[in-house]
Amino acid sequence: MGSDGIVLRVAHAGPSRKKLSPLVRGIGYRLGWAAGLSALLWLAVFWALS
Amino acid sequence: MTAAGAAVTIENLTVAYERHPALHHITGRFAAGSLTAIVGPNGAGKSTLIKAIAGALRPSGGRIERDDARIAYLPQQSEIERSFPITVLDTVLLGLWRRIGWRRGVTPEQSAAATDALHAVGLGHFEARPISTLSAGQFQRVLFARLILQDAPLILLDEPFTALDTRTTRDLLGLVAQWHREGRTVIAVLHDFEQVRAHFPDTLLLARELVAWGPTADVMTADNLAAARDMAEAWDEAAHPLRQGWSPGMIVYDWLVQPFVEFGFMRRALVAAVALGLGSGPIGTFLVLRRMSLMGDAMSHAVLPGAAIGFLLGGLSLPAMSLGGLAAGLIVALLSGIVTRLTPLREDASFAAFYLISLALGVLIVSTHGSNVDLLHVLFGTILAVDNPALLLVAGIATVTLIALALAYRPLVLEAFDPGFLRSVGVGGGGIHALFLTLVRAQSGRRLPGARHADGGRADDAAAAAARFWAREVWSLAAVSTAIACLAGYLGLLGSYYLDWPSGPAIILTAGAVYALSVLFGRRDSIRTRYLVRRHLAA
Repeated sequence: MGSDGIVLRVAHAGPSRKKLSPLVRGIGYRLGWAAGLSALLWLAVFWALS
Repeated sequence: MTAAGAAVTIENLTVAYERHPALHHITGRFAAGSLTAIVGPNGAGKSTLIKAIAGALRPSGGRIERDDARIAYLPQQSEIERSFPITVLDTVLLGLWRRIGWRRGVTPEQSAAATDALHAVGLGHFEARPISTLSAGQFQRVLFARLILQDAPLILLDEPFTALDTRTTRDLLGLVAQWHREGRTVIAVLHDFEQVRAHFPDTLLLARELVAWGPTADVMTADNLAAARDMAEAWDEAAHPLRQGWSPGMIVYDWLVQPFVEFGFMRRALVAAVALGLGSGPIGTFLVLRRMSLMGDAMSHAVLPGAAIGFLLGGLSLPAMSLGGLAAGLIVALLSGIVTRLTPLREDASFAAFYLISLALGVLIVSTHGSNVDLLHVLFGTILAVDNPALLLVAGIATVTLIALALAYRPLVLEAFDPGFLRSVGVGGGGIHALFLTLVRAQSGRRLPGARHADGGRADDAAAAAARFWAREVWSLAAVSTAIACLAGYLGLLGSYYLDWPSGPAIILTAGAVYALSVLFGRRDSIRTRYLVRRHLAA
């Protein structure tokens, strides 16, 4: 907070990362999701085959 | 040869299959060098006890202590694959396992010992014969030769004389007597009471619990045998499962988890349903967003001719039918795409035409080369019949779909939302559209025959429609839709298990119920938010 009581917003210029949808996030993020879900699926597959 | 027998001590032993006790609270001791028969009515737990002593079954409670780890175990003949391509000599040599393990070779002395063992059981010169050519009696002699070679202080025999001719039985009883004279401990499960009285000094009478154990003359009394019979008649086949401490958590576990732990087919069906949900959740969302909900349905019919050809070539095999379906679906997608691009006909109309043609073609192929029953199999099938290769295929398709979606997510959204923009930035809409159709096709193809429209295939459309009442972005719609599809698969399978419903309708009806609840109570645009909440605000 500045001396005049006005909140200074410099640390987070631009939109917060948290609000970005997968549409605008990069390919790595989306591939991460796909890989993670696939890994969980294959764990389940190995469980089913055991 | 070693001779000293090994004692076996049993303390409060309980053995259960899937938590149903097969025998319980057995306590006692097989003395070193004793010769004991285990008798009792059918289902008394005799084989269970001998398998537990052999270490083939783990006790659910209590313990078994053996003086010596070396045992020779003769399983029931029915447990051995008689058609297996192995010679008599190799079968007998397996008795050397403790000495040769999985890597050492057999020495000439050991080979000679095996031949001697075969001579001892009256099967000299049978070394090179495949076991499939032997009679039941000869095969039992081979197994006894293997026991000789094992040279163990403790010998366990599970129904060694069942269905054998008199001469073989006499010869093998002679071997048992010889082992007893050598001081080995021998325990045998037997049915023939006369045999027991004549040849076995000790007897254990079992009826899931211990009835009597001691010298045969004391155990095999009319009273004891009648008591065992009465206990057998009192068994309730649907007996309550063994509970080690009752708790609400266990009831929840029994109801919600146990069917999937207990049965492989339920596990495979559940994972197949989850895989279907993972792939078709996002695809169904795109279909709904593009107002092409029925296209998945059309596609799943379009694959029929290929599936039918796969069925004719490979029988009722999911991979064969799916590969055929994949090819047919790609051809239909390609042809209808060409028609849409080259003529003013809209995509749904051209699909409708190709779908009808394909359906008729598929029915024709199966009907002329198979039967109506075959047609039903090809058309419907059941997710409960998903086998291991099919599960791998379904999971593989789900993985490829997820990765393709991740790679092409942005263009796919744009192509559905603003195709003009996509083209303006230099991405060809045709390629993306073709990719999308391929993904739709992959989802439809794997509905064969595990989860076609009668069987869970349509659940994802209901899920995608329901998701619109909960989420408002493409990714969250896809996530909610996937979650609903997976939940419907899980609850539907449980419903099918407990109510004995066909799995397909059970899964779709579950998804339908979620859809109805979403329409009524969803967070966005549901009846509740549109009418009830507004009225509340106006009041």
